[in-house]
Amino acid sequence: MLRSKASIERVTLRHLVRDAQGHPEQSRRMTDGELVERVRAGDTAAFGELVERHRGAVYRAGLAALGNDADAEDVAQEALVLSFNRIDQFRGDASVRTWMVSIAWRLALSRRRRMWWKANRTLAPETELHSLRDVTPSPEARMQSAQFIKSVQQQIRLLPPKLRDALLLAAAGDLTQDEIAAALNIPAATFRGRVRDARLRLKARLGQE
Amino acid sequence: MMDERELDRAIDTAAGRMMAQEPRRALGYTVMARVRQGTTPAPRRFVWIVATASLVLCGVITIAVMTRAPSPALSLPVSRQLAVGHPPVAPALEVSVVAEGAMQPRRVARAPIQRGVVRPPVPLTPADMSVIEPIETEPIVLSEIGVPQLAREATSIETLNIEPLTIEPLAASND
Repeated sequence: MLRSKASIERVTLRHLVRDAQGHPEQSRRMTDGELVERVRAGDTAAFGELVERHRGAVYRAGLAALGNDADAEDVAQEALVLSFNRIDQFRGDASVRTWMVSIAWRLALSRRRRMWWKANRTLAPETELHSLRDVTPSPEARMQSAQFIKSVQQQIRLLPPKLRDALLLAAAGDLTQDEIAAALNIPAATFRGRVRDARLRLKARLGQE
Repeated sequence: MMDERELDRAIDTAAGRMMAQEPRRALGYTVMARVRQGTTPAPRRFVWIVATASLVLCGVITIAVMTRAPSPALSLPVSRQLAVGHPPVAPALEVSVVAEGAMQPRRVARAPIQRGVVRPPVPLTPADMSVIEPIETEPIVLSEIGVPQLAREATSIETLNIEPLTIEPLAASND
């Protein structure tokens, strides 16, 4: 059963930190760690606050890997439900956001592999990820170089997956580069190298145009 | 021709726009609804059901195979050592009980074997038993074997005449 928007907001308000008399402290929100402890204690509504805080980052991780809105939302939903079911496995080594993003990333890669197999059976390989949704550019950008930005986006889609993933995750801005590397389970230097390599390739291709 | 800084800015702008999307509000509601219901998605639940059912089936088949009734063992007759040089003694009356049909040659069944059907051992009734009467044998009588004497014939060996050897003298040269 779906809950209304108002009830979700009430959940958010309820999880403001309360002082000794039970009055909510409006100045400080509960930290992710405190919310996790509440979820572990059986407070399902505390997880609603975690979802509100991190659903964007989780969704964009799926978007970076899969390139389309519907698959990204499916993966985000699965990842958030899975993170609730596995909340006892969260050790606190990384932030809650990094942990959730890493779950979403693994699910997204698994789905991408399945999509790749399906696409290879039915479509030409170069059609992979061509369905990335184009966002309407801002007016000033449209005035200056809308066509050029589109061609850059096209070149980004044609990058090898590992380089494209690194570039897009860094561009999402939800996590620091070290956090992204942790979520991807690769060394931070490797992640930075991929971003640098992606930029070099793009510049080389765009310079030829 | 664009310089490096402009290219970097263009890459940042393009990648940023590709990622500048927010999930629908319904995502949070759907997640919380699923969390409250404590349900897993249907396909995964189906997979678990199938996996559990196949495990149970495997277990049942394994137990059925392991507890299957053993095939009736054929008891071979005990060999008797015959006394050589003595007349055989008739054995005492011995009653051996043999289940009827136990010594029947087994047929190779072509029909598929029904596994899991365990038949309990059938208790023998007096009607199933029969008495085997001992076989009477005549004693073996040993008789002497007569060997006929062969006639001897004297043979003579003729003497051989051996001529004396003559030694020829060696040649003077070694050729």
